[in-house]
Parts: sequence; structure tokens; C-alpha cells
Amino acid sequence: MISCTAMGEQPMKKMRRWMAALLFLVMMLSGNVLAVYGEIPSATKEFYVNDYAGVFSDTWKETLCEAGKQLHDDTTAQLVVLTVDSTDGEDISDYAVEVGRKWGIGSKDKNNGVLVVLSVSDRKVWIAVGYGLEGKLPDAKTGRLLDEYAVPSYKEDNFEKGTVQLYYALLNEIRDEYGLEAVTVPEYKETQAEADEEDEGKPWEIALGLVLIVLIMAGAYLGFVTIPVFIFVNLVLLLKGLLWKIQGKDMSEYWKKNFSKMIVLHRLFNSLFPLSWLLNRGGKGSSSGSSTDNNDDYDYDSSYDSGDSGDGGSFGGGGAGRDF
Amino acid sequence: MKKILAIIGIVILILAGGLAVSYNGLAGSRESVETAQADVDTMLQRRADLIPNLVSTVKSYAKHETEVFDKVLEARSQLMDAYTIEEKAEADQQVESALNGLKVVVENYPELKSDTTYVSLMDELSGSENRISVARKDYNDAVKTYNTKLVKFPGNILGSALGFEKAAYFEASASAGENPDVGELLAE
Repeated sequence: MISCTAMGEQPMKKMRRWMAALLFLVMMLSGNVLAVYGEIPSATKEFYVNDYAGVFSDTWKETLCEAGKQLHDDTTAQLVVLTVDSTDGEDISDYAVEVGRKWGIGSKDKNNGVLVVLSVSDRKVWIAVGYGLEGKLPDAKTGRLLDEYAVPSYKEDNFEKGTVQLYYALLNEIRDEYGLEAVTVPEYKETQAEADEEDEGKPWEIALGLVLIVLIMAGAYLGFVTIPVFIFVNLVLLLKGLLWKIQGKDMSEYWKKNFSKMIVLHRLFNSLFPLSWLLNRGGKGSSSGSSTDNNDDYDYDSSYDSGDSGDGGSFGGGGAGRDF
Repeated sequence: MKKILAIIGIVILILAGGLAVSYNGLAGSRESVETAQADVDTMLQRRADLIPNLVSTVKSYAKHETEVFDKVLEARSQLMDAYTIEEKAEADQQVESALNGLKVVVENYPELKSDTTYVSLMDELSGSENRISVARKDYNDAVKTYNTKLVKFPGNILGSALGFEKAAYFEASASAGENPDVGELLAE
């Protein structure tokens, strides 16, 4: 009996240590998730238009993406737009170089990428030009294009119009560099944007959003509650068995008492755990799980998928910017 | 006896292999530091080349601001004379602050601010400054990698034996001024 109480305290301590380790693990995981915020966003599947600030209508987003894809097919150059609400205090030109390099815009050996970064709340725009296009788009010319095509519309808060016009101006400069004829610029109509905006917030979409939130929460609950509970209960049962063994009690008695419990627990866990995993996946949608991905908040309303991504181009800080 | 010799032989081979790999790593890192340094020099030169043009454009509108012009030109010539990385960093900072002074002066001349030549030059200037800041960062990253290898085993032994020296960071000794935001100054 004496040995029983002496041994009984140690497993308790052990268990506490286990719980602490488990808690630590959970905190690490959630800390990891938090650390992602404040980093630069990841490229979306549209790739040519990454509208984190939500200034584009679906129609224009798709039109520009198709134009960008066509340009890439014709010239290997990549012309990419990124709109953000703010660069979180980072200098927009540094931010643009960082994004351009990370996404690898432009081909690896020609470095012929161009990235337009529009920071709506900061009211700044910067065009970063890859090494390979600095000849065609020197800083002064890039600045002039901004003044001519983007800044007037930006000043009136018409970010879509300014960006569309700027996009086609840059596109045709790049086409010229590769000896191709200019494409005709589609006329910008504002009604397109308004028609799309009315689409937003349909009741079924809101309902779908709510269902998704519930699913995510349920998934998180199952993931973070069932697993610790499972491990804890199992541990208790095992320690109990250990005690029986140490005390020299009849082990068959122990199995008789606890085996069915273990079976039930395993069944329960096996059925719940995949479910929680599935629910978590379902909630997160198509985000690709890499630790630097930060686009869970991206509005994937449009189903456009350019199928393209960066070809490994680099940037050296060339380009021009404006405040508006 | 043979066995012992064989074991010693193998150990020596492994050690020699390790040293060779370490040496290659060190030499490669030093090479990238040198490349990055050349990039910084190119970008500093690029901006320096813009300055005479910029000064003469501003002069045509603001004849009497001789003090500012002298300061800019002097800082520029100091940068051209700079030899070591430390000197260059110091001079680069001087140029930056002198150019900032020039931009403040320009604020008083609205016609100059809307002059197309001036706007173009300012775009080139801010692009150059941005290129310098990118090149500077790349250089400092390369230096960090290289210097870290030099203090770690076995790079520390190998480095001192073969005369590898630590590279200097590109940073002014005084608190380095922020890059001026030209876009802000250009905004109406």
C-alpha cells in the first residue's frame, strides 16, 4: 500500500508534464498561424491580377488575366498587378521588390517581369521593373506612364479604371519591346463594375459563409479537443495498467475491466479524427498549406485560374512610383 | 596494425573532404560578396552620373541656391573618391542628405516641380536610390553569410590559415538616414 501512494504521485507528475508538453504544442501551432500575418501575400491562382484590396470586378479581373496570359505566351514576359490595402508601413518600393522576387515574376534568364503594386489606403502606387525590361521601361518613362494613365483616375478613387489603363499601356510597351503589334485597349466602362458589385452579398452566399464558419469551428473543436482528450484518457488507462502490474495484481482482471473501454475510445477517435481533418480542409478551401501562405482572406469569387505562376525572374529596384 | 592504419586513412580522407567542402563554401561566399559589392558600386555610380544633370536643371529655375548645389556636388565628389566600403557608406549618406536639402529647396519652385525634365530626372533619381537600397541589402546579406561561415567551425580555422578576412557591412557609422521619399515630395 505504501508503494502504491509513492508510485501514484509520480505518474501524476508525469501526466502534468505531458499536459504541459501538449499545451506547448498547441500554443506553438497557433503561434505559427499568427506569425504568418504581416508578411507579404502569396500569389493567387489568377496570378496576373492579385486583388487583395478588392478594387476589381470579376469581368475586368478576368479580362486582364487573359491579357496577361496572352502576353506571357507571346513574349515570356510577365506583367502582374497586386493591390493591397496597405504595405504595413513598409516602403512600397522595397515591398514591390520583395514581392517580385518572392513570386519570381518574369523568366529566370531574362528577368522580364513587371509588377504594379497599388496600396489603396497608403494612396501609393509603385511599378517595379525587372532588369530585362529596364531598357524599354526606364524609370522616367515608367513615371510618365503612371502620370498619364493611372494617377488621374486614382485621384478620383477609381482604382479599377486607372489600373486597367495602366495595365494596357505597360502591356503594349512590353509587346513593342518584343517587336509585336500593340493590342487594342478595350474601352473601360464603369457600369461593368457596378453590375458586379450588386452581385455581392446574395443571401445564399452569406448562408454559405456562415455554414463554412460553423464547419471550421467544428473542425477546430474536434481537432483541438478530441485529440488531447483521447491522449489523456488513453494515458490514464495505460498508467492504471502499469500500476496494476507493479502492485502485482492480476493483469487479466485489468484487461477485463478496461479493454472494452479502450476499444470504444479507439473507435471513437478513428471516426472523429479524419472527420475533423476533413472539416478543417473543407473550411480552408484551396489554400495550399505552405507556411508562408497568407491568402485565406482572399476573395475567390471568380473561378478564373490562369494556371501560370512566376518563372523565377528577379528585380533590382528599378521602376517608378507616385503618391496620389 | 593494418586495420588501425586503414581506419586512420579513412579518418584523414573524411577530414580532407570536409575541409575541401568548407573551403569551397568560403570561396563561393567571398565571390558573392565581391559580386554584390560590384553591384553596389554600379548603382552608386549610376546615381552620381545623374547628379550634374539634376543640379543644372534645378539651377535654371533656382539660380541663387548656390549653397545647396555646392553641398550636393561636394558630396558627390567625395563619393567618387571613396575607396573602402566604410568610406563609400559614409559618402553615400552625405549625398543622400545633400539631395534631401536640394529637394526641400525645390518645394519653393512650383514651376520647377512640374517641369517634365525635372520630373523625369527625379524618377531616375528615386529609381537609382531604390536600386542602391536593394543592392546594399543584397550586399549586406552576402556579407552576413560569408562572415558567419568565417566564425563557425571549420571555417574559422581554415579562414585564418588561408587568409580569408571578414568583409565590412555597408553602413554609415552615424545613424543612417532613411531614404528620402521622392514620390511624396512630387505629390501635389
